[in-house]
Amino acid sequence: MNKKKQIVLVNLWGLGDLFPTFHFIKKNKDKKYYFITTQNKHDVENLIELIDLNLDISVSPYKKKLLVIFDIFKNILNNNLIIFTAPLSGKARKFAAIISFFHKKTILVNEKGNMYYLNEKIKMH
Amino acid sequence: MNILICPGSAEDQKFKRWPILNFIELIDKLKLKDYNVQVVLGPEENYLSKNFSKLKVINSASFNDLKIISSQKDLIICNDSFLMHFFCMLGRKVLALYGPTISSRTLPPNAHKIEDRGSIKKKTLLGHKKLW
Repeated sequence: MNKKKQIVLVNLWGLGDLFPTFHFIKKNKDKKYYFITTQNKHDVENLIELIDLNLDISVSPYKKKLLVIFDIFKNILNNNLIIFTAPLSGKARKFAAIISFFHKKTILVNEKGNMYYLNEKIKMH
Repeated sequence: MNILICPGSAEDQKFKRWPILNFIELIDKLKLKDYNVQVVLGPEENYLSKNFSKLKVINSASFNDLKIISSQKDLIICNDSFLMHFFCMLGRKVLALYGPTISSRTLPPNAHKIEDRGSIKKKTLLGHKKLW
């Protein structure tokens, strides 16, 4: 049984924008990830396989904002680390900031700069 | 030398595309130098194939097909698009053409870029599809 605590990655942008998050995962391979995205589950899982990210990742796709919020709250209750990866701007950033106010185990990536580099700089404590 | 050209981008991000006439001109010049050129178009970009009638155009390939096709290429030329990120993540040699979006924000670490602000209409967006 895998006893590793899951780390929640949240990316609410387009399909191409998932790659900076994959880049982060590649740099931090020894973790168990739970990926919240608004993209198609099959597409995301297919990409994860094709880029050889054969790691412990489960994908949770949502088209409805309410379900995303519900899933994030569920992870807050489980006291999981939640990371909002780059790109993170606009309403998604505001939402992430509200979450981080209530849940201290939240990481918000910086807004300005190269999104691959920003994700690379994320430090998990 | 085998070159793959990806002239598209998502339908709601057409503003990121280098003008199609520029791609045609580029392809003509590459062919004059005897380079082997192939074009790939996504499912929403099939209508662009009429512009490349003299070439072998790959339409609506799966991610897996794209992985295989790209492994046989020496260089991939594309817009700031999903394919740019995908091919870079696969470790391919990619030349990204940037117009209205900011390369310093989205360029993958191993990609090369050319910025051509003159050819593409500027649009004040960060370069991301807003989903949220």
